[in-house]
Amino acid sequence: MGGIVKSIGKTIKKIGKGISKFIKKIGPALILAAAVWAGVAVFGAFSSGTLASTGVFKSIFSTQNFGAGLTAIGKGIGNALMPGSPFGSVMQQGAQQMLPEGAGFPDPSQKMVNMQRTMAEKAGDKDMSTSQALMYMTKMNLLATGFQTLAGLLDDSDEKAAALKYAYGGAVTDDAKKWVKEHPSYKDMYDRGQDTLGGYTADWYQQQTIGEPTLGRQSTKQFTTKSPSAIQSQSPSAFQSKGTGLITQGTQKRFA
Amino acid sequence: MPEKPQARGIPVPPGRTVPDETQGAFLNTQSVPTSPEMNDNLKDPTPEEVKQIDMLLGTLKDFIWDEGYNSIAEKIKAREDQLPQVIGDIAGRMVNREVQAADAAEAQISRDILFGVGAEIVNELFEVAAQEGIYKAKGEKQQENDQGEALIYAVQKYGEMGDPNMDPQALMQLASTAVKGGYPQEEMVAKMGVQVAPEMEAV
Repeated sequence: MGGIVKSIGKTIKKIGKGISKFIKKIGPALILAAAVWAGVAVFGAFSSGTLASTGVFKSIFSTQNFGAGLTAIGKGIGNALMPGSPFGSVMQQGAQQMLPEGAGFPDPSQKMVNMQRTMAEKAGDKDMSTSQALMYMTKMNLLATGFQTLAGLLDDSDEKAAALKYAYGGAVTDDAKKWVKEHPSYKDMYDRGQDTLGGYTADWYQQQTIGEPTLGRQSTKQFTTKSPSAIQSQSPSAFQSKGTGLITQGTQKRFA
Repeated sequence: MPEKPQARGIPVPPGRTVPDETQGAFLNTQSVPTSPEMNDNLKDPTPEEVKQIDMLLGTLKDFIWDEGYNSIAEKIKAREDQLPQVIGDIAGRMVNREVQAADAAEAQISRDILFGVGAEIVNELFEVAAQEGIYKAKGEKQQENDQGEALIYAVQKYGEMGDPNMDPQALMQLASTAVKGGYPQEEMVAKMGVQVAPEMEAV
């Protein structure tokens, strides 16, 4: 008898996969909130040195790492986000938007999540969860600004574009020298480029751009046409000679 | 005499190049975007990843509704006052074990799809709790909140168990992209392995 009941129970459970669902699936915003949690925690593990020192991914998404991540994003990456810096000011505004009136500027950390919840509770939304708080936080300057900076640090496309301009045998300009000094990892490449191309000056490159194959991507300002007066004053051409020509001379002789 | 209206240049569509006429810019033969162009860091799931989602979800759902049902129901009952946490813990553990097992069998699973898989498993586990009468649906918003909370617990549990093949940089990029909000949320989660098939209506 027990066996039969168990068997029926199992059948019901199997049917469970196909029956109408009671629970609505989670919305995209909350899935993204979980992704943000993970990303902030990873960043926290990096910034606090946990990941670098241990090289172990265990407990990487912990609340501690998340808190460290928020703090690092808030306090600044290389002080870029410190209050007083351009980013820091925005961060501070973002943080103050989240605070009850009159409150100071605390460390952006796990407290922020809790504070968001408290505020939501005060506003009558007592059901707000951490994930909801996180979701709202993503809409505020606090995380957005910090993450944009973080993304900027991670995104090396600007650096690559600059490397194309400066490091691959670029012209010896002050800008190029300064850039290479600021990006020592490209120094070898820059030096090699200078060896190969001889470190030509900007003027040399200016001349070379005329008539080069461009594959349609070159600046439209390729040809510099000198002014007519300059042509007249410099040209050795017979057509620009001040003296009278043979025809004129012949005519002059005939009518003389 | 009416003044001749000033001629306007042809508007340049976003992403097109414009001549870089600044002094010293002659070496820069690269395209110069006229507006910040979106770097498409998000990739659609590959056919292989779609197969992996089906395989993972199939295995895990079978387990939830078959041999794992009783033990899952017991665990949920034992901590029903902390439902999001217990469900998150179970989901994180299940996904981690399945991923590690697949890795061990040299059928490596893409980590890009795990948020979607995790969300689906959390939903199934709440369904179990509802079937068992432990979780009383309190409206859609509450359901969403509880599942969101559980998903974060699932993420924590997954990390607690460890995953040597995880790409931390990719996770930071994903979070950064999510926060910047350049993509519609539905599009983003679809690329994170969330199946966008029409779901069953709540009864």
